[in-house]
Amino acid sequence: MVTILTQDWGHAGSYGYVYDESEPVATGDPYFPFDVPGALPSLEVRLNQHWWTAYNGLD
Amino acid sequence: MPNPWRADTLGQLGEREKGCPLAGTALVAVGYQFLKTESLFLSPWPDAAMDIGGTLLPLGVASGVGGFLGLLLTPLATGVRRFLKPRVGPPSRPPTAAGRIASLRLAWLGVRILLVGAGTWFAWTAFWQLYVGFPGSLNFYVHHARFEEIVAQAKTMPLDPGSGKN
Repeated sequence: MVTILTQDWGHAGSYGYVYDESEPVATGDPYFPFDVPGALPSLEVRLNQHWWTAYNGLD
Repeated sequence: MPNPWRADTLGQLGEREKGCPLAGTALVAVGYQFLKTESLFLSPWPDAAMDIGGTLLPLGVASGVGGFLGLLLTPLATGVRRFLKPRVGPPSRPPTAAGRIASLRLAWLGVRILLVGAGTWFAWTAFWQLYVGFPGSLNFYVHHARFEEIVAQAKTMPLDPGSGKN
């Protein structure tokens, strides 16, 4: 599992991609919904089998 | 002032007035995307989707199409009324050539509204993803090779003991 940070806008949030060869594991935590390494715990759109767009709006 | 949505007045409008519905459609599309982008915590991307019972509903596409259908509702209602009137109401005059031309103009206006909406939608998405750099399908397609290279490099790094993560 790899997190790629492409945009870091500080308090406006951080954005990027997550590569995951398995299914992402949901944590049940609304603030960190997925067990993802790095700073982008919220997965948004699944682009293909392995890639997700991800963001962190908590900064 | 003539109502631009009435088919029988379209022929009386100048080019400037005919452009008003198109400009309004573009304004609605841009305004919606601006408001949605402002709510960064909810769905910052033009192709954001909402998980409804396991089904991903593309919010942008759904709301955009909904908005355009809403703009088309008035002439559609007029069309339905004109369709039903000769069938359920008293006999009326036969359609005239001018009426047919007005109907064609109305249909063409609807097509142009949809085209302008789709173009605005694509331009807005391209702006955010290709110029600003937000993640999304277009941005991912452009930088795909670079991202795959990063993943390949990450796979060569040693794993944290017991975590299974690089």
